[in-house]
Amino acid sequence: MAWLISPWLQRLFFRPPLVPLLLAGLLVDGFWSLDNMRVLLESVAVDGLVVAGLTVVMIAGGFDLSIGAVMAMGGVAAVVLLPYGLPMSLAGAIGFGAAAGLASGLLVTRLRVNPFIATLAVMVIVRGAILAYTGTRPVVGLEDQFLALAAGSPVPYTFMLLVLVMLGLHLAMTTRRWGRHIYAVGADERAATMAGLHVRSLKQGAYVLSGVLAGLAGLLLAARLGTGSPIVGEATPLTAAAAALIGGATLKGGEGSVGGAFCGLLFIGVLVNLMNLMNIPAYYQNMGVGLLLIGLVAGDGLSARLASMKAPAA
Amino acid sequence: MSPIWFVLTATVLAAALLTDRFLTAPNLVAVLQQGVITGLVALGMTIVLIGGQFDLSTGATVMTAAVVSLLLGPSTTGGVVLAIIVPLLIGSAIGWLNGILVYRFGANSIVASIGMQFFLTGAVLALVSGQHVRAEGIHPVFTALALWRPLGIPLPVFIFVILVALLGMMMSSTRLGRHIYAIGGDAEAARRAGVALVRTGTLTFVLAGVLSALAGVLIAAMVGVIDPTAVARYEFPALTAAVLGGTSLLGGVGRPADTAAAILIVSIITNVMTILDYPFSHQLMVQGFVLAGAVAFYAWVRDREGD
Repeated sequence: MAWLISPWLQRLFFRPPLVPLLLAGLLVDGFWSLDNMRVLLESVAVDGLVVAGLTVVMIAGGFDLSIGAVMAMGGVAAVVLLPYGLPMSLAGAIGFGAAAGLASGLLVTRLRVNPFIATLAVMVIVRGAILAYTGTRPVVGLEDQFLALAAGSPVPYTFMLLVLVMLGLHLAMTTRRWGRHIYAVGADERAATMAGLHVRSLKQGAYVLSGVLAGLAGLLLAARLGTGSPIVGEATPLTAAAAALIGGATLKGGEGSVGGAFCGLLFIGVLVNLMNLMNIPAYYQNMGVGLLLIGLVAGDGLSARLASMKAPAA
Repeated sequence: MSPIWFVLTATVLAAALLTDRFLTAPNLVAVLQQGVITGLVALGMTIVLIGGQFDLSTGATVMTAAVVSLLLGPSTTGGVVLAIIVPLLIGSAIGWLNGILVYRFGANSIVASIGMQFFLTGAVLALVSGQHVRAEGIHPVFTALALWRPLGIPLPVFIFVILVALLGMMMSSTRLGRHIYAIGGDAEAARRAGVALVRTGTLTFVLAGVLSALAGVLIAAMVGVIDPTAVARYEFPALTAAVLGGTSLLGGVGRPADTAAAILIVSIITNVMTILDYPFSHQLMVQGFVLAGAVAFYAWVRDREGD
């Protein structure tokens, strides 16, 4: 019976109940159709890149509120630089993302600013900068080659890229020394320092990674929408955090996994997709996601309390 | 004396030098009025932060209160009373729920209050089906809440100043205030020392809820029509102000009056930039740099004191 408590089965059936939800999809007309599957995969692909970066930052004990704004910046940069060629456009999205991640990381590691506040400041500055640059209007001027990035059928290219990124990061986090060090930094920064880890550069790297992935997500979103909009991604930090938390990451750090976050991402994606198919208005979807978040953290807190009660008193 | 007061003085001087339209009576009144709404939210946020937690549902609470206030239709005297009391009750109920989630269930306050924010925005939009809310025939007494100007100064400014004074006294010289600082400093130690952790902590959230709801009622009285889809993110400028005023995000440190000074700085900057015709996007960037500069400054001070 040991397979019953295998972490991966638990992950797929209970935390979150992804498989039961997919089975429930059988009851909803059109959920399992090829068209809808493509819609579903496309909808999670862009957010997924952001989730992957945020999860690594959260495992390292940080947080990144700037990802939504950086995503918008990546999209705008990609479109603006497109006349100089696709490689230039890609480099722009990734470069600006990396710069934002570098700024967040410097604030957190050098000035030891609380990560929420540091990335909040970066978020506001980045959002202000792109609103100023674009004059709050979306930038246009895309060519077919760029738009083709969002194509692919039945599986969109963006989703294939997401799977590659998620798989690569998951393996890096679980089998490479770099990944183990990130976990160590998040679990106990002091201990990690004393063990001789380069805590600063590890955390700095996590923020840069998150920025790069957010910039890349922005480029793909621009390809999908056919425009680089300066206002996208307002709610992205919240939904991305929800996916990571559902997938087992915590705000304390040192826990969770990229693979788990992928399940969390799919869970939310399927939930929203089902609600859309059932014609539930966006307002009720908001309420549902809110209740889900509240339930998750309340359960998280309660189980931590119960665990500390059961533990023998020191 | 907190360094924020010197910064405030410097900001006033700089503003006066930058434009001669700053130091005029109508403009100064406008600066004060502009600060009140964010200021009320920031006061509540300060107290929750001193207790060692975050409340990011405050912006949504403002909107909920404003919408409910207008929906109740303050066209009769009785309606006016309801349009003031009911939103405040709803605000305290939201705060109580947040407090119970955080202090009794041990939920992470950032995520719990973001969850509450999602729930509230969804609920309000569902309530009004995403339409604008407009109250017909508002009773003059209700509008007077925002527009009555004894001595030429709008009533909300008086309300704000009185609340800053009251909350300042509460935090500095009552047992409740000391207990809030204590749970923010070290919750477990405070609990062992006999502080009622759940009750005291929940009260900080209730205060934040009521203050945000009051801000919502004042907005309703000022404008008389609300677009609930234009979600005003009051929690971010409020958080900026609290941090700028020296409130620690780790809990146990902060003063309502310092937050009020920070609010004045932020609204003076906004005011001057508006006079000098800078667009909203530039104001947003400046806000970000001010926030980053402030946290960097306090981190530098903390490190120097620590060594």
